[in-house]
Amino acid sequence: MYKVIRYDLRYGVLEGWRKLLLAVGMGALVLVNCYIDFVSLSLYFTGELWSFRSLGVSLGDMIVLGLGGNFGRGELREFVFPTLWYLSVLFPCTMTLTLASDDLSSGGVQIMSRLRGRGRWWLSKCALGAALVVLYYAALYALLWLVCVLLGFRSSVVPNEAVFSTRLSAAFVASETTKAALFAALILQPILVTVALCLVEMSMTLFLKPIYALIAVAAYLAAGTLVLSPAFLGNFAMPLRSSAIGVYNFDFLSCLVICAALSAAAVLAGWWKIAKTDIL
Amino acid sequence: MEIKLKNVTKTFAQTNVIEDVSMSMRSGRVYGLQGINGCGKTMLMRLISGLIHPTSGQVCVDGKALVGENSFPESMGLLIENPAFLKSYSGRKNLEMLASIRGRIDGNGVQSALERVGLAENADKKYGKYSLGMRQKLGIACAVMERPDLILLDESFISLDEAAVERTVQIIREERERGALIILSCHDYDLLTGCSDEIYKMVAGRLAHRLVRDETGQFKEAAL
Repeated sequence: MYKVIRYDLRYGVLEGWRKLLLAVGMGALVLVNCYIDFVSLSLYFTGELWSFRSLGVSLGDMIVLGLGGNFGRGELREFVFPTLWYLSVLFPCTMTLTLASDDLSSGGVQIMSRLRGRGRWWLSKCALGAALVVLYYAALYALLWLVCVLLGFRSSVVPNEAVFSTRLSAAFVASETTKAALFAALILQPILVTVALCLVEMSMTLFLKPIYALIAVAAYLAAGTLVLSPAFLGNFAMPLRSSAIGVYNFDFLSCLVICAALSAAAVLAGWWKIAKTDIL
Repeated sequence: MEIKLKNVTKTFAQTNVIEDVSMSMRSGRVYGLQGINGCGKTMLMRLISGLIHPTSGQVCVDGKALVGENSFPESMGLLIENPAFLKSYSGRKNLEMLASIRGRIDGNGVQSALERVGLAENADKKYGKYSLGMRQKLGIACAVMERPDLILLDESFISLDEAAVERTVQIIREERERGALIILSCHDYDLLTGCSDEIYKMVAGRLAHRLVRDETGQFKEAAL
């Protein structure tokens, strides 16, 4: 079992490295978005277009403004669909969508017969899916961090209060939060949610055609932008709705428990299904 | 090794693709499957390999039914329909990666398999650049490299040139001598009779005839 997971991780990741270019593409979109935001902030605070370095922005600001999601619908707040955040979660879901079905139509049969177990094959695919998601976010955040360093921004996850309250027209509660809690909200929660969603989606591809699984996950994520409920995991993946940054109770511990339970359920469902599936 | 199929039926969308098949096979023999396209040869191989489950009946290997998590025979090499490997790796690397899962053979074992199928010279070329014949050779090398007890070769002569066909026939003979149980399907009747000890003719998912080679080397009709 260990050997096949190692095999999948080594060669699955190497074979699928082009998929990780999606992280670079996503990073580029976030940077363009931040550039526009920072230029307008620069104009607002200094009266000049290009002096946004003096604003004291940080990596935290880039993540919050680019990948923060939205605060949700409110009586006083206009709903704006968080396109960048949505894409940032949907991209890894497309990366892992056909991992299982592609493998079954290529070398998977050889691996399965050597493992003498469908379930063990499925576990190795789940490990590969989770690893790809983690690598995707690692590449995305590394790119944003690198830009921060190159442009002389702060590489801290703590957002700038002035930037936050001006750009988002919201109270800044992050000043009462520890760095660890901010790191969890900005970095870890989106990863946990995306891993869980990808595992659910991969499991669904054993029951449905992959495109239907992707549509279902995309619709579920879109619904989560509208509904402030833990039943919609997307809420936990939006830093703006986290208990560390926003005023809602989408905290790290609940996220961890729900994502772990959902991931386990997805793996078990896939295990059960693959044991019954005819491999044609 | 002994494989027994007991009244095996496989149904897809209310159509029996395999119908009430019972047969018994043992080590050190080559079993040929013959029949027109769609008669169920590949499905029968998939059932024996554990890739699909019978709708009714049982496939038993050494007395144990192939069910649940352990639905595959313990020691099996297979080439069913088209071989499939990772395109961006060489033929050698593909085999080495697969061999590393069970750890039964090392690089020398892989090299030996590549030489047996006549692919040693092109072993370091990317699989994606292989011709159909080279892909087929790699598939055969993959099926036999770990010296498995059961070898399933479905239409394995497709796209092979004359020399490669000769080599494959030689490999089948060597593996039989070693004691492997080999199941082979092929549309070329002369080739099939040249390799097999028994031939099963299939018609519409059923076993219609069984031919067994006698002491004189001739095939004679035998009871199913």
